Amino acid sequence: MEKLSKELIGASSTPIILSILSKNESYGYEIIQNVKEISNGKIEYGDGTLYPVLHKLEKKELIESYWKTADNGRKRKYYKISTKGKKELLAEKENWTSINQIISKLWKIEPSLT
Amino acid sequence: MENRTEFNLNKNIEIWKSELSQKSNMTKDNINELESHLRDEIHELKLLGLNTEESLLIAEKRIGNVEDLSTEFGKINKGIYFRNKIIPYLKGILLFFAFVTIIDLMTNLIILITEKTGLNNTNTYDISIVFLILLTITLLIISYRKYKSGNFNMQKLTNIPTLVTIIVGSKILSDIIISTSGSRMMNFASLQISLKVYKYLFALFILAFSCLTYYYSKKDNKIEISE
Repeated sequence: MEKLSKELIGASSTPIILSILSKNESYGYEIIQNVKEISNGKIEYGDGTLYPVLHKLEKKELIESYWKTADNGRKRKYYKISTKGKKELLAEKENWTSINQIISKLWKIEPSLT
Repeated sequence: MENRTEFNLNKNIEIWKSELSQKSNMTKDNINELESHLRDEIHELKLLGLNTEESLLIAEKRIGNVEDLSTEFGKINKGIYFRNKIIPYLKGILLFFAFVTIIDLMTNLIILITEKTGLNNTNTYDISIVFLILLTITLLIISYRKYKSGNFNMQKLTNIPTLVTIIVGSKILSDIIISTSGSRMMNFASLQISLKVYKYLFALFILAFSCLTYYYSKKDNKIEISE
């Protein structure tokens, strides 16, 4: 399966992670699995590379983290979206919708030129 | 058999964690989070039918090697990275300070001795030379012996709390000696103090900065391998 480019994965990581966390609180491993599943394997975050992204978002106060003991007795660090994060997600949605519209427009015009 | 494997898994994870903690830009929390990830991965792999050892190997491979992880985390843990980089320089400065304060202490001690014993200036000079030579030889002998017996520990010597204690301790001792001694040294000392306010301010700054750096680096640090 063809994977998306590194740049595209990087640029889309904030809206994707925020969207996932806006539905449910989650932890690193689950987020990776989730994204892989939703994107049909086109986006696969490296195991070790997701955490710095999460910590960056936490520093920006878009998400919050806390340790929680799971049912099997193991501790996991959970993340949830903050109020600031929800606002950021709305802004991201607008940005990506605009890009989507621009590109769709361009690609619809193109065939009529040839 | 199962028990033995379980034990090995925990032990191996501890080793992996301690390797990560050697890197200068990861906090304890970061490492614990990665451990939880590693355990999730191992759990999934075991469900696929791999044994514990195989699962650990693959999970470690997937999570990435220590170098790469450290680089990735370094991008967000800049403060920690900075602290770990600055510590060697601070140690150098503190070592120099310790040297200077010890020499000051020796000087004051010699002046005190000559004053109490009523010797004159020429004798002070001779005594100080003999004293310093004796001190140097003693130190050399001690370090040589320690080196020979393999006990010579540079890390202990350049430990920030040790150095700060040495500096503050010998400074206080020096001051006590000055305050208990006669008028000649009092005049000399007060002249020195009034001229060297800037030196002391700088020294205070370095000492405070070292203590803070040490405190924070302890706070976000290191995991030992538990037996």
